Amino acid sequence: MKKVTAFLVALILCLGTICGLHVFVDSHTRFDDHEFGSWISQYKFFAADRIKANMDQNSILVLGSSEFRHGKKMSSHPNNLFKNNALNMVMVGAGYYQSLFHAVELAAVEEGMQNRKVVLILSPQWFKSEGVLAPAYASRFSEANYIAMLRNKRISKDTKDYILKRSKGLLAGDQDTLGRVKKYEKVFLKGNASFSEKQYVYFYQKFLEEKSKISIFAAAKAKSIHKYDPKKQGEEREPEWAIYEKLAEKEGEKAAKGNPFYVSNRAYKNQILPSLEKKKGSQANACYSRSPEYGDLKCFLQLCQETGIRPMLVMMPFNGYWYDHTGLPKAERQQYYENIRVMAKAYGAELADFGNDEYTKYFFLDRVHLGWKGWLRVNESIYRFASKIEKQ
Amino acid sequence: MKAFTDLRQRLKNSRFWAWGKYVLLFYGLMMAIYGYFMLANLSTAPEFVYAQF
Repeated sequence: MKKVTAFLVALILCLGTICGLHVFVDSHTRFDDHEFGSWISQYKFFAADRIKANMDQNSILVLGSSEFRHGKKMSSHPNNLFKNNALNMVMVGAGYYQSLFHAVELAAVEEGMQNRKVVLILSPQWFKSEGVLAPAYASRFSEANYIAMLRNKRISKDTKDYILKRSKGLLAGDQDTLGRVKKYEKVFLKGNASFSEKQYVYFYQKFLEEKSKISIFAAAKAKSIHKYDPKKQGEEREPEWAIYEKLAEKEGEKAAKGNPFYVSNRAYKNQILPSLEKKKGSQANACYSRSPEYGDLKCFLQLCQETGIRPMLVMMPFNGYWYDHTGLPKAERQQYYENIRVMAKAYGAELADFGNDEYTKYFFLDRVHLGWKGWLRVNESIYRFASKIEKQ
Repeated sequence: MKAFTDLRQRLKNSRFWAWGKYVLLFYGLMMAIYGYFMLANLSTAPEFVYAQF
């Protein structure tokens, strides 16, 4: 009897602590705009509710992939360039986060986007013939965001069906998650779920919500992300692009140390030189003009239309110096650019077209990631898009 | 040292402490389980090693 009462008292204390934590975390997950915006973490990407709570009129959602993590020391990297600016880029993405993931993410957070604009930075490498890799998609799949997408009433059934079909195919290697995804489909889309399935999904959804809230709080503490300070206001002034351009040239020149690819000398020595012979001509038959990724991008743009979000696609170029070496035909590259241009036009999306920058020196940091000039130009296009200033 | 041994003796004879230590034990276990479920990576996706393009 003594142990039973002890257990019950412990249970009451435990429930009290959990409720206390819930309330505490709820009111302590509004973070410093720039620190939160530039924080690259899966905890953040999976916590759509917290992203919504941390966005205001000056925030712009920027979806991309691994470029966010590279070159953080460059003055043109958004972490540095917009550090004191009123514009707050909320970056979502890391390696292998591609159009389909971003479509689901956008569906989950669009309700909280006050300026109704989104930027998607397209890497040409997403458009390889196989599209997003199944294990990559599975490892980056957020069930909470997926449920939010299914529950979003503004999204058409066709768009949801497309995401569902693609996700089920890509999750074939993760049977547990796939099983739950099928239950979500029954509960939120088809409406033919049994009572027990409905209860299971309801409970699991609550669990995911709580988990994402607690884990983002813990991760932010571990990363020393400061809390929101309403007194801290960024400058409304547009960055001096011409000054940054000169700085980018100078920093790029210094870091490249004259290597023939105009990338950082470190990347040249560690990544390019060791595989120089092996990669020569290796992409002579590679295909970037036909890929399931185009369908995923179309779905993303369709979703933007349905939710009233204005998208801008940032079309990164191929690194001309490197892809000449790997033998990727120029016609194939041009076809990729053309496909994106056509798609952007068809969906009325703004396009930051960098197709002509293949050979711009210091545009790239390494073989594929944006460098000094690359980030600078991308940032300028994002700033103008976010501030509604048309390019002259 | 004496104070410590006295306290130890008093706790040993205390009926409240005999019950309270079970409360603490169960509470600790429950919070550990809660912490695990909240913070652990429960993804069942096959391991994917990031490789640059």
